[in-house]
Amino acid sequence: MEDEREVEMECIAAIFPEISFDPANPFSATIELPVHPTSSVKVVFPASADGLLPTPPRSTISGQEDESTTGPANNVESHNLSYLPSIQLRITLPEGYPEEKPANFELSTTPEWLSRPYLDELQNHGEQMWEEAGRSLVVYGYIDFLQQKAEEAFGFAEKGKILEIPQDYKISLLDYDIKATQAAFEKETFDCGVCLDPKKGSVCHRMIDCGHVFCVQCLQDFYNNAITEGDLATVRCLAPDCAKKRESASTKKSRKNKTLISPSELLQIPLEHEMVARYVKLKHKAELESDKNTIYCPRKWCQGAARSKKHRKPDGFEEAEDEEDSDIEDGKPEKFRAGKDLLAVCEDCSFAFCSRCYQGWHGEFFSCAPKTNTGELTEEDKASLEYMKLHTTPCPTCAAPAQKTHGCNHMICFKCNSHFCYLCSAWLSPTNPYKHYNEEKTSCYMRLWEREGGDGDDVGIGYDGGVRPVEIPPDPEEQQEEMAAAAAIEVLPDVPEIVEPDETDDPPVPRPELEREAPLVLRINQVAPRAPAAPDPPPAANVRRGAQHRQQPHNGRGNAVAGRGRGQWMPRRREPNARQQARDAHARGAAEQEEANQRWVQMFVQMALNDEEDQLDSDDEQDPAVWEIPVR
Amino acid sequence: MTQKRITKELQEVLATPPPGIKVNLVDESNVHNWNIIMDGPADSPYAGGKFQLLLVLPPEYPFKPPKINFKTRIYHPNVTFDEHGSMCIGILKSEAWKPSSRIPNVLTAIQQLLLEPVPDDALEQATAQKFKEDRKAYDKEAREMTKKYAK
Repeated sequence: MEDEREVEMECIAAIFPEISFDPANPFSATIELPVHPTSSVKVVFPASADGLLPTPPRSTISGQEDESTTGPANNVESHNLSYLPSIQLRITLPEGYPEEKPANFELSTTPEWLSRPYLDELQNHGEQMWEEAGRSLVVYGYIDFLQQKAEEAFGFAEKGKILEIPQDYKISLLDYDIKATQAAFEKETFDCGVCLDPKKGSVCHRMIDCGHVFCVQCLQDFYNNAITEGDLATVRCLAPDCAKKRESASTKKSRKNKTLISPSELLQIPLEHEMVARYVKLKHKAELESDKNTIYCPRKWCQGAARSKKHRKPDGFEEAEDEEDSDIEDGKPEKFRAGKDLLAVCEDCSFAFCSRCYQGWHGEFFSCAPKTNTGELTEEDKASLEYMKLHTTPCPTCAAPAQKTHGCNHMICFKCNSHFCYLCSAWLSPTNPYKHYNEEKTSCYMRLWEREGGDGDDVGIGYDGGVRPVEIPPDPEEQQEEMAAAAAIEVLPDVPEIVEPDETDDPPVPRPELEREAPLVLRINQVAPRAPAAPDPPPAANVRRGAQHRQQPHNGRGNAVAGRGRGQWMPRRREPNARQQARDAHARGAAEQEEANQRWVQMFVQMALNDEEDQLDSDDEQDPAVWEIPVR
Repeated sequence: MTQKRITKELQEVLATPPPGIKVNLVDESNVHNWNIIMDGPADSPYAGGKFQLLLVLPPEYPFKPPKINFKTRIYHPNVTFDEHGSMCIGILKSEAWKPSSRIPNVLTAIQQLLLEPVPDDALEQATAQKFKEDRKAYDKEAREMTKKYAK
């Protein structure tokens, strides 16, 4: 007669292929039963019962910690675990099973997170089952019973129940949970919302804050691109409305940084080390630049920011804590104000200097005069200034310059949320911004969509295709012409023959003799030939860097820049010949507005060379790193 | 990636077009320009009209938002009543655009705009005024314009 034990073992092996048989005994086998309860288990790790306090290194696992510390008795933190180490079941079928002897079940866990008495109880249940089943085959039924028990975490998954596990096992249990969660994630398949391809979890990343899943390739492409372009605000979850929802859901006022992705998460995705370093650096810079109290190192080769408590220079990838809020809450603002605390120390080169006179530190009781001029601009700064003059419009409220990449001329300031017109920098009512373009009396009547392709040489690519007559991007020729026009204004009284700027592509002939009479004009003349020679504009990064040194146009004169630069734009769409006319207008404008423009040029250059802007300036904040997003 | 994703979305839209919407390529060799025919929603004065729109997907798609314009003239507060048919909708603002937004979402948003104009955010003031003050006259005008242009 066939041994019933053999039949049962074969059956079990067919149902649980992962079972492993004891080579010495064909009626003995072990099986691992995973413990993945349907709902997570609240676990606490009290100090071990023997009175000794083992102090294993504290777990640094993030995301697992539960805030509530209302653990039982000794105030230990609790954790929610989704996976617990599996249970080993050793089955031995003795001679005489099933008629005379019960099967022998041995249970164990590594580490021993289930207590021995409880495991014994479970073991005994096997014998009970055997009895209840009328001494028949019971192995499958018992395994099934254990699996069901595991699903409810042996009763601990119930709400309000807490599983206590000796602290010694804390790390291995937390570790197990993380690894099992990760392994399960890697086996899953996700449809990446960006490339729309189904991807294995092993090449995907789950966003830490919101849980959305995207493939690593798409995340890398998007964030690398965003960080390279300095578009920090888009370094968020890529799901529609995700950041916004969480933003409005959060009760705290600290809305800005919370939805941005942390540097450590970017590294996890993973992004290149250098890219994350750039992200951290740009974020720090943007903070410094948005703070009008920031002062900069007078060493020309350095120009770093002075150390400030408010915006600590990031060390590694730690997120610099912004102390702004706490300062205000404490009621004793300790803001670093230039001129109040005279001693400033550069965070980059450690140069100690006086924030009033910008000389090396001379002690507190030395009376010094505020410095009015730091000297010449670098070539790069000049190029940045020129670019900003031509291709940005300052916000009327906070003066942050905006460059339109595409779209209509209704802008919302990235920084202060003011609505304004890109053409004339006028403030627009948020409730009805388009009125500005619908009233005949404004200079921007019917010009909402002018320059839809964007402003600048590096924008609007790809938006020209087929929609409407292609917008002519401002070309080097035109820039050059504008500069030539500026030169003409300045020298008009002495050199009337260049009143009419050349219509050809030739750069204006530099006139060295002008240097003596009008050095400021010469500066423009030097820059002018660069434009046709280098069709690509100073990259955005340069513009930002230039801006960082506080030489960008400020409020009042910024408007002047925009007004002058844009007031002469013609509605190209309606006039095929508009470009030609625009040029003529330049020339005519140059002559007609000679006086006004002359005043403007003087003011502009004066301001640009002036380094006391923070003192001359009003309370308007400046944040040049911020670029506007056109509103569609 | 751009090509692949656009092709995928195109296939999906062709296979299961959103209700009231037909899609085809302007030029079979270029997946970046889509020709959209949108039926005027039944419960709107645009009912019965067929509106043509042009959807342009930039080379950076889906990292940058697509661009969409009405080619058929439409009398609507939020669409310019000219040959450009431009509109200002939230989902296409660069700041709000997310790479995982999909074209059907955009098209549905436009259908929604036809059903529920937003006069407070209008591009055509006169139309918005009429919509707010004399809804009947607005409906009538919209119906007439639909008859005239959106056949």
